[in-house]
Amino acid sequence: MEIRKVLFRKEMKLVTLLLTSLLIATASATVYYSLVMGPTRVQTAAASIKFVAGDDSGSSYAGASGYTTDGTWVRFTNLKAYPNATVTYEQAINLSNTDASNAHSVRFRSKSITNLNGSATSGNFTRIAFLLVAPNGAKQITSFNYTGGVSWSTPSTTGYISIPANEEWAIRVETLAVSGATANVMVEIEIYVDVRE
Amino acid sequence: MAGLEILPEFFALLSIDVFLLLSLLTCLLEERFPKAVPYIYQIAALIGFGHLLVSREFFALFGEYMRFWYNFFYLLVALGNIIAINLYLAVEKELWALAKAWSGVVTFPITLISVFFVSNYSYLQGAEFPTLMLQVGLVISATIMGVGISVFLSPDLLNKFRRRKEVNQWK
Repeated sequence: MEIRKVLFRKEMKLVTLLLTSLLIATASATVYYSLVMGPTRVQTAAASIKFVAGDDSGSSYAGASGYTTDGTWVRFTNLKAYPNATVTYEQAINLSNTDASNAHSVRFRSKSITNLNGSATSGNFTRIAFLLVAPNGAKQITSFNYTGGVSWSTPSTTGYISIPANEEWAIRVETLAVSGATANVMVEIEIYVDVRE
Repeated sequence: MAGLEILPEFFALLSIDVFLLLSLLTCLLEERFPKAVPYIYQIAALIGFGHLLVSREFFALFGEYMRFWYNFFYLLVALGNIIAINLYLAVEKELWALAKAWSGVVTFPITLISVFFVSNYSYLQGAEFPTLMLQVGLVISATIMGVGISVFLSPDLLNKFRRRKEVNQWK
């Protein structure tokens, strides 16, 4: 049989087309897969919810620092707890939703609490509370309390609270030490403010 | 949420497979088509592959909207070819049985699969789509596909059906 005849037989054509089809289909699927599993791009952006100064953030009051650059973290260096008298920092720091069109939700989550003066530290405190307060004065988070005693009782993570676009809410801190508390006893608390984008 | 979402390029992938299927089917039925047709479909599939490569390179530059439309256009071209073959068999060649089988086995299922993925894509993008329409469509597709396959595998079925009808008419 002539080679030319063999090449032009229907079976040969079909096998050739089948092979090229498999090749094209596989290559196309690979390209599509590389698109789906392609490199993830991460873009820097300003945070939607930022820490901004409140009326009691100054160094004479709560002593808030670290928030001025990006507004993504804050440290209080001057919070006081008086024996048998509640100290309230109405606006220890504020949370601002800088998104002009969307509300964003926030919650409080405890990271750690460290006694800086040994295990007896917790016995000097009655409670340290963090509250989230809306501009109209309504307290939206009230249950985030660290309670002193033989050991610290840490609060559980709060539910998410929605902050409307362009609003500024206050984080209020309330402290109370036990009657006859030893002076200069310190506790260090770290909390997360989770933001749902 | 991007894990299981389909990309607009999926339509190009679907179209490539459609062109490859057309290439193989037209090769199987080569007596009824011009000799070059299977190869033209292979080239069309290759163009789709190039299309995917370009899309990958300019992924960030082209917006999702633009990517959807040029991929969707390519899918429309592929579907247009299926329908064109169906019409060619029915009108030009007057091969009615084959044209019916083609519409049941190829045209209708592929059109429905395309509708399914396009509607799925639009649903994930936030556009509403009535699920009842999809379910009804799938049932119709399955029925027509079943009939189409039966006719395709045993063309005598149609003749038997016709003969029975004629007998009933004479009674």
